[in-house]
Amino acid sequence: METFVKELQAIAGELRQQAAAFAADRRQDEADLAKIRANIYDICATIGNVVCKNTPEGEREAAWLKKLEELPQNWRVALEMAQAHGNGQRAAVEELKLEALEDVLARFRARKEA
Amino acid sequence: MTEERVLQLFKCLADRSRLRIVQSLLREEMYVERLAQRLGLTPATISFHLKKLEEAGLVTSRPDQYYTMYALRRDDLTLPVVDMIAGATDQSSQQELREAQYRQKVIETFFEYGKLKAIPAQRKKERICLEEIVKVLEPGRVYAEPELNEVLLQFHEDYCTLRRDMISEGLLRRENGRYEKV
Repeated sequence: METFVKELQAIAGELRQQAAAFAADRRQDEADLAKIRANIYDICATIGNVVCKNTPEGEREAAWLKKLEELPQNWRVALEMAQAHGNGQRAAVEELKLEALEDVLARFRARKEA
Repeated sequence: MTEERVLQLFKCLADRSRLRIVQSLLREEMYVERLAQRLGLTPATISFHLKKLEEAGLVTSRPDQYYTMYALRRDDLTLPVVDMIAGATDQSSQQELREAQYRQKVIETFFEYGKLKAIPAQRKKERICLEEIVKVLEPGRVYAEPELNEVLLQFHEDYCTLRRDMISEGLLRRENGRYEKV
């Protein structure tokens, strides 16, 4: 679990570098989107760290997955609201957050299967 | 063209990816995937930028079989920049403009999809929110209390506070349990 958390932190770091590069290339919106993605990897890593500290070893993965299940509930509501009100930019941001979380879970599953 | 419009236009174009999208659309109309391929960006990123360009009135879209085709609206882009700047009209005094911008910012902060997220603690901000809500009341119409409550409930669950504060702010008049917009 600790190794996976480090992997997530590394991805967040890469995304922040990407964001800086986008900003330097005068692509501020893409920089902002990269920062939003970085935040999601950071959040998942932080939750992982907290779980590692407070949960017995055998229960950590299940506890982390449970927390991650709860995490996107508000994003889904915000996405539906944005779509219903034709707020394309907000919808794109919420979709991006959900995609990033899905990527985290896919990486986790792939790691388990390997 | 208003000063605000000129600013919106320049702000929208001051992004390398959007500028490249505009360059591509100058040649021909295109759909998202084609633009993504050409510019080496993801379709989601292209869609995001096209949305911004559409909101700035620089791009239009139309359905074409399975795709949505995007085309450039050339009206504003064909104007010489110097004419655009020289012709930018200041519609109101700077003070009025600042006031309107402040008002808009308060509304955007406290309202989400037509609902009041929270009643502002600051009186000035609350007044702006109340003025926005009172707009839905018909002038000259007398509302019974339950009827008024129903209207206010659409904005915030604490309709009693809204009602009371509207009266104290002089936006609403109460007489024998009946209410009228001032």
